Amino acid sequence: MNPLLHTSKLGKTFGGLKAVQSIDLSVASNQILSIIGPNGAGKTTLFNCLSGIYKPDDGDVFFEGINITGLKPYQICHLGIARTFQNIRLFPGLSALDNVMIGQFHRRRLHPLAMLFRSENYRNEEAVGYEAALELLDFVGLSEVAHTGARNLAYGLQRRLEIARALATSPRVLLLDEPAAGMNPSEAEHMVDLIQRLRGRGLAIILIEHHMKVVMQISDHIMVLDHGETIATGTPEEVRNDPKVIAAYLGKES
Amino acid sequence: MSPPPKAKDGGTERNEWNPWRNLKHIFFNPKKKLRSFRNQPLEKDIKPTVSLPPPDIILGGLVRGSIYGLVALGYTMVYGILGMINFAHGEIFMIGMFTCVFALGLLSTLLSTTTLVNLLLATLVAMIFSAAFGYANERIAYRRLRKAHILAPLTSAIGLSIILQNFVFLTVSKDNISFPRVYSDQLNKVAFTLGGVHFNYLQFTILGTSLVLMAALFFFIHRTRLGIAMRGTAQDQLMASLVGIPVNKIIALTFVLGSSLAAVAGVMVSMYQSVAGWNSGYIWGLKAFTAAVLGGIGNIPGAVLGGLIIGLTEDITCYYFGSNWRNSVVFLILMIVLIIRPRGLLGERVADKV
Repeated sequence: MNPLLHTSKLGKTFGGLKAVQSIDLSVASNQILSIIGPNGAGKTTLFNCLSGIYKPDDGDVFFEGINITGLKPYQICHLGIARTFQNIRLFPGLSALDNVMIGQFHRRRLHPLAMLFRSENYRNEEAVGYEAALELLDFVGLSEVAHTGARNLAYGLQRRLEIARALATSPRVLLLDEPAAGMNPSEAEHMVDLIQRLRGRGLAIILIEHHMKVVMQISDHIMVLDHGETIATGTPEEVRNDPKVIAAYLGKES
Repeated sequence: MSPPPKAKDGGTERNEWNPWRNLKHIFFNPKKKLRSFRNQPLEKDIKPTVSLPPPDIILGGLVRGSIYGLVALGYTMVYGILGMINFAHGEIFMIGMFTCVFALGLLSTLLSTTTLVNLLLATLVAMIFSAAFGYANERIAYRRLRKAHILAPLTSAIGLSIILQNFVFLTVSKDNISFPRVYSDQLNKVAFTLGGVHFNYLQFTILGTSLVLMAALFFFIHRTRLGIAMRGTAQDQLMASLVGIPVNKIIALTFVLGSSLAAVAGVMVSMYQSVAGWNSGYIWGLKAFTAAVLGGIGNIPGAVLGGLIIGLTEDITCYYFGSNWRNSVVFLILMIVLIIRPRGLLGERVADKV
């Protein structure tokens, strides 16, 4: 299977600290790749390199065979990579619906004059966008709070809204940074269900997660990072039994 | 060394400027006092009466205020999106004034269309010119410095404002230029008289245009996709970029929009006052900035409200105390607002903004 997104020898250095080095990962449609590792292992730095927030110092990122290293975040988004954040970054002053609609910004191109004079085309497009946004909110189970301000939503709902907003950019690859962080077991269960349904839509998903139960349940592949390096890759079963992983997570004794 | 002469009471002081006596004169109606004196009432029966400003003063204040509101929108939009004050905004307003006057001159010689068409075309030209200057302002004074310390773009904008003023002073006109009378006279004709007070078309045109533009801007920001993108960019630039919004273009659009509104305001001011000068952007800009701060900077309805309040205050001050006092009173209000309520009348808490 052709990978949708892959990297070769990706590296990022901050001063003397090698935050991430020689990462080779690849993910295809309908696949879930989980990235795990202790705190400070470079997982989020890796995401920042993939989504264009950081410019990698070494190596390349390929999306559908095109080299996208060093593109601006919005250009990468236009190509079809979307992400969520570990600490939620919604637009607090916008309603849930507007948060989703903002994600569709680049998908529909119309002349500004058409917008100014509200041509028929424009109004149709707006209606389509509105419906699409409502549908996405429905998909993540937020249709009832569509008009609530994002800052007034409960924590778990904000996480879902973040995913809906990422989906609104119609991505092919979705980067989820700890979507189940701070959730209780039943909320985490819902999140697993949501991620499974996302896979059903044909997305390639890269997931950073600390909830081992979630990771083992849904991943096709797992990649373990420690000190910016890959220490193990494989199926959940292989990784679970890898002595290096156990050492990194629990210390040498166990 | 002789002791300094004591200030005498009464007569000699008459020619000097004494605001307190003016105040007494205004708020304690002398006619009433005179009548009471004639009828020999008791001291305690004398009640002071306050005379309200007449309706034409109120209308004048609203007209002036709506212009301030239009200019203040430019300040408040840029602040909302970048968290910086655009101190060159007043000069962009001034360029709108000049462009309109020259465009009118050209149009009336080149095209023999009606006054209204010429006026609209000239306004359009002024808007395009000012928008271009606003865009250049963003590219030159702001874009490179967006990540720098907050004082750096502020200083560069002040620099740009001085450059623009001097540019106009040296190359265009050292003296005030006057707005073609042909255009303003028709609008200055008295429209109707109500209760002995004359209202003219120009005032209604200015008030109406401003309010329509403000409503249009409000609609644009809250109901269109570009507007949502703008609000998103204002709240979190990085995140906006990650959901596919070209942040640089949106910021440039903000400057362009604010500048075209300032151009319309410039056209209306030059029509209203019949003159435009290289330095008229300074005081209008500063007062519009005061209006934006008063209403709560970053808040669009706040800018309009602040503008109306400043305009009304200014005209009412002129009516009571004379026009020398108007700037002092306006900036006194700015100081009081900054001390008592730094976030302005409708402003959000600073914590929410950051």
